[in-house]
Amino acid sequence: MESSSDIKWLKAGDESSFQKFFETHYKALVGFAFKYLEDIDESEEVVQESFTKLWEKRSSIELSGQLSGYMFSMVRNVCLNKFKHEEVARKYKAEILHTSNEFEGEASSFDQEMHHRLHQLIDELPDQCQKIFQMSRFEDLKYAQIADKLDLSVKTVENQISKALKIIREDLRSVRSLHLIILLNFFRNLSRGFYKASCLANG
Amino acid sequence: MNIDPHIESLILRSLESGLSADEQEQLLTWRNTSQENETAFQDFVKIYKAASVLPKLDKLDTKAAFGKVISKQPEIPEIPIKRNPFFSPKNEFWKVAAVFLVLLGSVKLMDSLLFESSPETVIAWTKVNSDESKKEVSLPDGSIVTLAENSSLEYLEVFDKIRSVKLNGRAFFDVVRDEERAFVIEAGEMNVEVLGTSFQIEAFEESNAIEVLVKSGEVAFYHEGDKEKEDKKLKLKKGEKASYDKLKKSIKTVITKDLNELSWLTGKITFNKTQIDTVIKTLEGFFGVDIVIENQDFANCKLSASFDNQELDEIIEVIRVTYDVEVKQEAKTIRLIGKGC
Repeated sequence: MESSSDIKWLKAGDESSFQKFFETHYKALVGFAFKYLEDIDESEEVVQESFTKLWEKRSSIELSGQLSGYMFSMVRNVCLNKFKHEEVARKYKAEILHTSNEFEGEASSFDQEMHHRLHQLIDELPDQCQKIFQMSRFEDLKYAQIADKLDLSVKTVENQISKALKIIREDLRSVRSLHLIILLNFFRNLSRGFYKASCLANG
Repeated sequence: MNIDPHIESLILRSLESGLSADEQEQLLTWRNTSQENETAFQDFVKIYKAASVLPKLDKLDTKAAFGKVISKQPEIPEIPIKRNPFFSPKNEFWKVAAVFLVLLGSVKLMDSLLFESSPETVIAWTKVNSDESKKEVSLPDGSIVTLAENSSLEYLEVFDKIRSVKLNGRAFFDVVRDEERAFVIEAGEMNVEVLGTSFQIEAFEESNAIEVLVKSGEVAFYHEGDKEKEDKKLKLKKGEKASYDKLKKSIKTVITKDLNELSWLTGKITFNKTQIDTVIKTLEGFFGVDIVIENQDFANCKLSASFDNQELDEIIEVIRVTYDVEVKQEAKTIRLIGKGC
């Protein structure tokens, strides 16, 4: 499905498709790298470097899954390797040791989807829950500070954050959202097919 | 999934600040109760942390980033083939152009034969891939290269004035001494040059580091751009290891106390007064399993033992008997419940 048509534009050196692909996944990948590197500039560098490599090696690339999954894996491996011989490796040692396990080094779909969907999911949270969650995560306020500002108890604040985490988690883990993603890709490919066919027909 | 409100509160507070030792234990116990619990905890941590990065991500200039990516391209651009009805096969012009192109092509070929290569025969590169398991490669000079899994080696069919190979991945080299012909390995953007020696190189395209570990003899490790600069070449002797950081573009010498760097090659795992938690890490990496140590006291015990191509359960058995450990095999985890040393 998506993998074979990704390969086509990639091997054909289609720069505008490359740009679209880049723009779709760039921020999610930077967010993903940030988890390991904890520095936004380094994360951008790693992701850009990965895309540069992808484009340079485009004619020889072999994909066993989706291109987006491949990019997440590439970024993750670059990040993990930076730490392999440093003390910081302790934090992610489980991941480093299991890179070559059953998932064939693919970054989990939970991680990938999280970075793409998180914005939308937060926007869809119930009002007060959203406000409190944003104050904590975006404005970096402590629960006690939020409680103070909104004239609520700390317990209430904790409950709302907990609620937010549960709602978001449920969506990311649900089979429903996976089906939605597959459907979306399916329709995307269908429309691409129509576009191509009409191009050829018109010469 | 329903989580006890008390546990929820512990999770929330652990995310924001610390927990008391007692509370930490409670949380840890809950986490270890089931894979479901542990996954839930990990999910919450991931979401919590990822959410705080969102404002930073919003500020990123994706278009500028793409500009940087696309500008770092090799000098010769690929010429895109444009579909154009003008060039349909029925068109006479196309037929003439095709002939012209073929002519051009053969002139170019003759050019390269006449001017680019020496009067001798054109020497070809041979490529070997290892896939799922190790592979041994014999080179024209008698040197032997053992490729680890998922690695590839390219070498010239004939070693003339220089013995040249290219590596992507990990391999152990046993190089025949030849003072007349330098042996040069291109590993990513780094070069490793030797006279005759044995060493390991790790240069995976996707990873940020390119590393060399010398087992015997001496090698010179340097960036491909520094071919002529003798003073920029780092010399490494037996037991020494160096690592090149692709992003930082810097080389550093690494002190390696790890006796098991070459276990993948030899099948031998050696522990010499090694702490159990390090032993476990090595076993996890070598066998690709999950091993959990229940008792912190036990983790500090030391083990001295050598294992030569033995199965994991045989090794676990040795540990079990040595320290009177209880072993529990779960779905994907091995739990070791030790008592102490």
